Amino acid sequence: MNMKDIEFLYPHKGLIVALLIVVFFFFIFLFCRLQKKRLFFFFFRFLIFLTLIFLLFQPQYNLREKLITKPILAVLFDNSESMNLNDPYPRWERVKKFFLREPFKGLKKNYQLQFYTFSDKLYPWEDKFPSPKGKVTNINQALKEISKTENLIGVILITDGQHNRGEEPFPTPGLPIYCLGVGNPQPKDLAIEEIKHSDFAFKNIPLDVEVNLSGFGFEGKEISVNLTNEAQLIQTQNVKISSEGKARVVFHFTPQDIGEKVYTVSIPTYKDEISSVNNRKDFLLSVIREKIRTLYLCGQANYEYSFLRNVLKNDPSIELVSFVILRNPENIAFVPDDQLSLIPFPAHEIFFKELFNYDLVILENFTYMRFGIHLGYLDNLHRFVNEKGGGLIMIGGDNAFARGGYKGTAIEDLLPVEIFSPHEEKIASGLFRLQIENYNHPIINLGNTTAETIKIWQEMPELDSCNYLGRVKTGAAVLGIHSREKIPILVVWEKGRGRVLVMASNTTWRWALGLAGEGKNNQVYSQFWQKAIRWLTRAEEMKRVRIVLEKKYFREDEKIPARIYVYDENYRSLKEAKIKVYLTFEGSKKRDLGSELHSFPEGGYWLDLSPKNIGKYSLETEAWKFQKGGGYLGEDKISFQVLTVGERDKLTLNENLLRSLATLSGGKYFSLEDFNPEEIKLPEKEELAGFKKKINLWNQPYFYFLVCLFLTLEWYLRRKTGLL
Amino acid sequence: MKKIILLLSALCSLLSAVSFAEQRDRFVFAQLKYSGNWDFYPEVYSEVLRFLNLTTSIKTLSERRVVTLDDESLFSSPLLIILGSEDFPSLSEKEVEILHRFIQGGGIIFVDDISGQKGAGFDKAIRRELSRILPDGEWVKLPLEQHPVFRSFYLLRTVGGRRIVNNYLEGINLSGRTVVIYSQNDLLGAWVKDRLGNYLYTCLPGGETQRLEAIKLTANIALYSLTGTYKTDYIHQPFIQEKLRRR
Repeated sequence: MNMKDIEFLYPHKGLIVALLIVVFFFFIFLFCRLQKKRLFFFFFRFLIFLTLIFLLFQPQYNLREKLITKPILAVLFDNSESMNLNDPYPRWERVKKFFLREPFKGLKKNYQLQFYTFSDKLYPWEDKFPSPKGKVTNINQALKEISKTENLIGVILITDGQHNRGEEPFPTPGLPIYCLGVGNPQPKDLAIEEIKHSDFAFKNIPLDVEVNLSGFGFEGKEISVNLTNEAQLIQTQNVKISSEGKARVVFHFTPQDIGEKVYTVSIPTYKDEISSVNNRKDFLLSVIREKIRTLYLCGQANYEYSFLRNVLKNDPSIELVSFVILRNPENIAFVPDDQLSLIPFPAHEIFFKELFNYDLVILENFTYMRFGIHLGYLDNLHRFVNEKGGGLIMIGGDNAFARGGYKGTAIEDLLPVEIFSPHEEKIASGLFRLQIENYNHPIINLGNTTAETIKIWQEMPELDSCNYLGRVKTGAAVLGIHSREKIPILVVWEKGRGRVLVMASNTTWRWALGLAGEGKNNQVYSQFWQKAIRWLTRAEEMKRVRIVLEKKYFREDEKIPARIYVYDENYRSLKEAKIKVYLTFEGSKKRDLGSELHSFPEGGYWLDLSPKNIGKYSLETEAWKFQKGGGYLGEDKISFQVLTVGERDKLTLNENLLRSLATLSGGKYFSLEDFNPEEIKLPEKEELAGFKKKINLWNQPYFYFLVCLFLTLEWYLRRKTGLL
Repeated sequence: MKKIILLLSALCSLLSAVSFAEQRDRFVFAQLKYSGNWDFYPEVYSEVLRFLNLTTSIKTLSERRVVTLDDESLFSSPLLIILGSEDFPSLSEKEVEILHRFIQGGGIIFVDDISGQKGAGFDKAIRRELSRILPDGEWVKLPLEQHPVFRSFYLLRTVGGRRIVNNYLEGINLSGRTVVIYSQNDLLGAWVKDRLGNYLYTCLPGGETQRLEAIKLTANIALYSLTGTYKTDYIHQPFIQEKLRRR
């Protein structure tokens, strides 16, 4: 009996200790007064009392026994599809032959061997040798799961190392991994390793696409690499595979059409290659319109021009051509013309030849009357907006609106407001704030939330003076008014195919400088104008109907959530609209998904897609207003690709990964054929002090019998000695 | 009587159209008042503004705006003019921060050293302070052949001033913009006139030709603050090159 194995259950141990102390001093007291012949009985009684107090503590004895166990050594076999690859014959067959040799026989003496398979996660070993069918390889998940096994001492991992799902594998501390690599680190294979490309490109602007190839077994061979777009050959380049088995090709081409395009890079396939699946790779490219070509005409050098010009010049998606009238006919020139940097204003070139090459025209404080611009040119500008769909911004000043002579011209018809007669038009002097009338309009919506947008506009510095604008036309949206005079300042509308914005004050530069003066973010000034330009030119993000996917490439087993947002003319989210949604796979028939559409209570719609095939899909939608005869709101189309998960992408034995796992974990790497079980150095048998059972001493009858026996004996002896 | 009333009304309209308090889209001659010799030429602004109104499309505020660094109107004055002739005390941290914000917000500073002393006095002090205001700024000599300030209105091949201390302008570039233009040639001194309208100071060594260059350069600086890099746009280059070739 080991005294360490006795524990006491009675909770109030303090009480018992106190009792012990009292009893002890009582017996000391008695001891001092007893006669010699009573001493024997004294000790007898003392023992009895000690025994009773011991039992009061409710002692319990933990009976233990020694256990001898074998630690567990887990054997994990990769059951994914890549193990089917011929290398030169199927990898799983090599493993099967390896198993038939009973390589782990010697290990059974010291370890408990437990067998598992893994692909996306860990699976128990079936009775027969498994055939590889796992769609993915997640070594990390398998190691995580196996590490939870009690009494696990190590892992033997049999795999080709082609981990293609989840986080990079990392060993669990204290768990050695012995990796057995299956496969050829460099099988004969010609493959497209990687295509480097940006996700989008500008129409008519050249771009580069870099392709990295590998060609183990094809060193020195010249091969042709093709770039196609939907079966149309764009370019072919010939390249030689280097002695290291690598090659690189750069395609330099110019996309012509706007939209989402699937491009394909392909190389020839050869009979003795391990796989031909990686000889072709697709990528998606969004070709968007070329830069927004903007023509900015400014009637007088002023700060509005310099600040707005700075915004436009610093926006990489805007190509700016501008003209500023630096001198009026009435100004005096006291030097010859060749000492002036001034150029003649090219009215004919701008308004007759080049106008339709632009996307947006800005007229800031600009009068047409003085610079050889006749009314026919203004008619052209009208056609530019109304028929071509160009955007127009007219900004106020002394030379704008009526003072610019636009009353009764084609320009007045374009504007969302009427123009006063020149003698009627006034300037509203003094500082004022722009009071916003519609916080949801995309031009005004500068914050991430409505509350943020409201705060931004409330903090905007004041503007200085503005033109009085005439009556707001039907269909126009007043976005901002004069905070005191309550007259329209910022007004927009759609005219024909184009859009027009009127800003009655040419002092918005005060927002930029004023916000900086207050130590606030003055980027909102740039954002305002950038949003205005994008709305006017119908840039992608300003559509009224939008499909949103979180990414462009999906795995074949992945669910694809799609969201559809619909807005009215003033970009308020529509809670009710008539929507049609179609899914098309690679040119096959459109599939109507209307019945799978659900709506959000706050506006917007959603559906989940589960495409069955690998390849390119298009999701299209059209929307109308819900009421009877409801107007057409717009359409959107988005492409995405469903890709194979990659069991056939990388075919080589990933020796680097397996060696790294082995080294980091304190294990070892072997090729399958070189496995030597004697090199597995792990702790063997383990002696454990196993717990068997608890024995309650306080309810054992033997103790109580003992007490009774002592008492009886004591009584008898007392009688015999005459003490009783 | 009717004519007098009409004339008076017209005068009132004219006055109210361009009131002293009303800036609108006008160019402002904003000059910094600091604890140094900041106002050596108190009347020169009127000459500059008159010239700009006469020869360019610029509309100007008729009065000078004197601003201090705690003045709110600083941030209504995108071009800030600093004149100096001698050393001055360091700006406080708050003042440095204000000027930094002014430049970050789009403002431009034109500094005119009228002392003629390089490396001492005002020159030393202003460089010290500008380095505090723009620690990341890049001090450069503005290239005569390329910088837009030399072709924003007049095509300049030389740098003028009351005296030629440097045959170049210096500047500080920040994020592709020249935010500080620094002349050590006392540019504004070349404008100063006496009560009779005669130029007060002789321009040395080049005389009236040098004065004319100073006047043109001042106008160019004003236009540069209003048009930025406009004259470097591609469309202007053939015309400008042709004119330069002809001269």
